[in-house]
Amino acid sequence: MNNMIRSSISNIIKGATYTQRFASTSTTTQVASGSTIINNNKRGLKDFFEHTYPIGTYPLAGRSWAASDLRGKSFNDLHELWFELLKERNKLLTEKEITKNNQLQNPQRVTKVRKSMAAIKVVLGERDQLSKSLYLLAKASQDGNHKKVKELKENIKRLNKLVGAVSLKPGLKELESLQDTIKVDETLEKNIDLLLKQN
Amino acid sequence: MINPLNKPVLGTRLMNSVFFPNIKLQVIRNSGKTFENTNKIMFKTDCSVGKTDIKTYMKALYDVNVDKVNTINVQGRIKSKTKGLQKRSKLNSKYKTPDYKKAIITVDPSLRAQLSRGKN
Repeated sequence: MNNMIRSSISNIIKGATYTQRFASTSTTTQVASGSTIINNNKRGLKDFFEHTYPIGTYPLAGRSWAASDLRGKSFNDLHELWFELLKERNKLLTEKEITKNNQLQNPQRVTKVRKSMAAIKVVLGERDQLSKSLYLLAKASQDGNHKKVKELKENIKRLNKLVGAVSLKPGLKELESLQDTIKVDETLEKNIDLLLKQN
Repeated sequence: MINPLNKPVLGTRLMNSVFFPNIKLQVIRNSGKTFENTNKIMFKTDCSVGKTDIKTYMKALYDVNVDKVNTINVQGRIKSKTKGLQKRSKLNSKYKTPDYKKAIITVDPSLRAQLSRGKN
């Protein structure tokens, strides 16, 4: 049962709509036209208001995203999911402002959005730690510090299992002008391949 | 956190603030003024958010071109709990609600149809 919901939600995410709910999953299935980062589901100011729950039902929501769900996703997917979570959070805050005594129905929706955002930050943090560890490994191997090289290799082995085959570069083509300021060292990914060959 | 360059890690900070913004915008009621008449919406947000942040945020997330942004810093109120009948206990039970910033955006009149009550 949960796997069916997860697969349907992953189809919804391909349409760039993050709304985990049980009752109206099929009605919100949309297909995005193209694979650019520009969100095709932008409805303007209407996105601050209307949740699409059926009238009279309790606003149910599924479980939040976990870090294990997000580790295989690219930077583009995490970026889109983050924006959808931001819009969902603004929508919930606006709904809270409208209701009586500022009390949301099903206030756990806010908790689930917050945990999903934390999971995205965890996944980004792991990739950032891996890139920093590779930099430190290159520096320590030049200095000849064998003890630190050994420690860093163990750390890189652990992080490499978590990060997997995802590129460490941001990969947003529309923002290539920012590449100089957030430049990732070209030899980092080569070092990953060298480590994999050694092991 | 490891800081290999002994400098502020510009890449990570820039990546987090540019690609992953964390701004909350909450629509609040603008008393006496409706969107249909003035094309303005009032938001409640943190005090650290500026006008250019709101413009780029609305463009990136909601694809809304904002013509003008007016911001107002609102101080939190100092409230006091009524605790007991003695006068001394009241002096120790004051607290302050958090500060926030009101932001009023003015959008193009062509976006009026987005918030109408008609069918989509």
